[in-house]
Amino acid sequence: MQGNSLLKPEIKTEFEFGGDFRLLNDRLTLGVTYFTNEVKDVLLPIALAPATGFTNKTGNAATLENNGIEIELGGDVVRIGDFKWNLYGNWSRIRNKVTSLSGTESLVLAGFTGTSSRAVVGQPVGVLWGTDFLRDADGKLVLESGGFPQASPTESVIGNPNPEWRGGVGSMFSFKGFSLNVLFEHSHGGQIWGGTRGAMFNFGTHADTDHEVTLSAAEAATLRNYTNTIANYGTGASDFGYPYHPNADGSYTIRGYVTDFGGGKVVIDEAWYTGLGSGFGPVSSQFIESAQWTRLRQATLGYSLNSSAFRKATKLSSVDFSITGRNLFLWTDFKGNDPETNLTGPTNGRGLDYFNNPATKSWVFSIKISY
Amino acid sequence: MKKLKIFYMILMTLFFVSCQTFVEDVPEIDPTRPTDADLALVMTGTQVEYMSTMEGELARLAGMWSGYFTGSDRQYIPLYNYDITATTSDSPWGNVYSFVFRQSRIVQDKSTALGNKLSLGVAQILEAHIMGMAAATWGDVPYSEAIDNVKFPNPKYDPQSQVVDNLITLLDKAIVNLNSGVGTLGGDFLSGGGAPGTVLPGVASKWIKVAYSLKARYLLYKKDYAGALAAANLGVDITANNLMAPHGTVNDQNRNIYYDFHERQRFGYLTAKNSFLAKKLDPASPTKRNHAKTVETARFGLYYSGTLPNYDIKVSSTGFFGSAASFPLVTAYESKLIAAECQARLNGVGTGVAALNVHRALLRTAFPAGTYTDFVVTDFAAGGVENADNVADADALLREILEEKYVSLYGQIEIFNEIRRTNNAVGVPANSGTQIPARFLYSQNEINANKSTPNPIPGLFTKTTLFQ
Repeated sequence: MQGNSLLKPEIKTEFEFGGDFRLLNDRLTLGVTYFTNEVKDVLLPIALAPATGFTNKTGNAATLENNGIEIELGGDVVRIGDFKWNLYGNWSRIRNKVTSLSGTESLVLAGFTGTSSRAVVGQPVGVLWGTDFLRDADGKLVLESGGFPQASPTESVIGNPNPEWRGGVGSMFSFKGFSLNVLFEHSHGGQIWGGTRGAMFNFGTHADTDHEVTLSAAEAATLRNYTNTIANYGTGASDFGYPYHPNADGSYTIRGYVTDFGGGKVVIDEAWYTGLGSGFGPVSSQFIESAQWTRLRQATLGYSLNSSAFRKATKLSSVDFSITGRNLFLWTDFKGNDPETNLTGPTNGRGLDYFNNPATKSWVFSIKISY
Repeated sequence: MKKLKIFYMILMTLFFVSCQTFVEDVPEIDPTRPTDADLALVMTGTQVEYMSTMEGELARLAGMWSGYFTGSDRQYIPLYNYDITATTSDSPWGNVYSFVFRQSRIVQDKSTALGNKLSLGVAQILEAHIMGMAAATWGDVPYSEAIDNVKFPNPKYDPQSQVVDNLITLLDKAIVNLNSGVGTLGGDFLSGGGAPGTVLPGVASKWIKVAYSLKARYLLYKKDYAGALAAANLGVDITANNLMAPHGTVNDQNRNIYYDFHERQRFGYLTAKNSFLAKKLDPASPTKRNHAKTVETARFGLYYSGTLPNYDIKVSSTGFFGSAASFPLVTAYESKLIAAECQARLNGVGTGVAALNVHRALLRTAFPAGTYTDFVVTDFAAGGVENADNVADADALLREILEEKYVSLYGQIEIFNEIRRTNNAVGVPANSGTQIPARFLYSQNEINANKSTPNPIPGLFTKTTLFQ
């Protein structure tokens, strides 16, 4: 690491504008905030060309831009006697961009050699960076002679873990001493690298690899998996496993499936899953998934004892009981266990899943005594 | 109340002012983070980096692509099958430039300032070896503008043959410096030799031989057979004068790097299943190279364990990659075989056979249980023991020399260069597809930060200039 005697402090210039409004006789509340800021001279390790003798130096390396809107809306929808239904919600959309990085195209914030979360010029902070399949100028896969895709020789941006917008909607019902509060949250857009699935593909323990197909003897002699024909698989030096045994009638039942990448039929089996299709292989883009999620974040049922008779009897001002459930349900298309986790914890990088623990579901019972 | 509030505010302001003067004279240099060290310490550090680069990931990759080893688990399976990207080179490229090359320059600067010509010569040899390896494996590489971040933040890529020429000149300077006898070799631990598990202080005369051996190698790259022959004859002459990386048996300190990888770090990733070389040496294999004058059982037992086809590299205490086994950096075998090849090309079968027999004498000393009878000219004539398929005599001799070199460079990065130099004369089969890669890819870190990097970078199967 090269020293730098010219370090300066980071400077953030922010402009924020907003308002809080109460409408309809205080029955409806509305809050709107808009902010935009620029952070200059962000202190980061700058990557230098290794051929210069140094791999990095700390410098005022980056300029970042953030802007966003937050809206909060709440109001009593129903007020009848002692019954009240208050509906509330919030919506936020934040955009950020790395506007400059001195001297380099990207900086690693967190992650692995093959897949990382980086700061890349012209992209949001934390974009996922790795290797894609080799594609031509139109984005079509460039296949090798066996009909399988290949890895691109250089890396690029493969995904963005930042959500497009986030929002929440909650309902608070109250009747006499009872209250029921239910909160839903939603994160829209964003992507995550599903490394757990990639690793499990390599070992054949993922449900997606649990599929069998039967090929006729003729098909087995001509159809190829990633390293050999099905009939000859296991005899070549680069074949991962042992030869397949044919059934009594000469056909082959194997674990895998037949597909076509655009160059004719090929077989996806353990040769692919331990080779280019492996989570440990060079192509990380194949495990990028949508990180969109909706959760039932919290449901709280409470009862408050605070009638004047009770107060006179006990000399307490109130006793509140409540049951709270957190993270009760998750709706998501993500094939892993929880898209809201971050492998690298409280770092600047995010969007990596590699055997992460999911968020915990919890039930909390509480009694609060006020004097 | 108001007076009290004003009083407190004034008191707070005073505190802010005094905080500033409190830190004014505190020094900014951190005494726990030294930025400089003595020559001997930097020499030792450079040599540690040098040997770990030559024995590390690059050597394993070179071996997997040259028929020595097999990638058998996780990331090593696609690496074995040539599924690599530019990031695979990030770590070795960074080690070569920012660790070995830059530090050898620091050693050279310090040596020059102190008038220590012996250390200067050794550092020049380290630079020549590491950059020669880089040029051979990556092709055109930054050299003349490298290691100068202030003047050249985007060092240009010098042509491969120009880099090799510059290194040959550098080796000549190193030889002059070492011959002067001026200075000391403090911190050098590589040239001491010694039994496995021991480290002895440096020997200048050994470094002179190493420099000639490297010069022979580079002249051979350029097809200057006369020059290579002259240099090889002054190079490392016997196994006791090999430049070896010493090792030991202490975890995380000095274990043989292949041993550590195979036994402690990544068990099962690197084996030798179906390895081309193992099948040449195993007496039970149908493609063995044994005949009446050559029996490789002892050498096979040193290199490999297991039986056909489930071989593995030998990491036991008697194995090539045993925990305390020294690792070859520059060997007598290579120099003698360079001499044999040059003699065969320049002066015919008779002289070539005599030179080859010098190498076989070394093998007899190293493997008393094996058979390496001296060849005679008729062995290479049609129908002879080395020419069962009736090719021209000179071709049969060259074939045996190159095959012998293939066996003798076991474990070293140099075999990858050798295969490409000879257009795969030994016939190593491709692990996947039809071709063996013609180079390593440039490092992704260099592509990102160095504007002089060619765009697009040369592909994996694009031959380098010297190895067509």
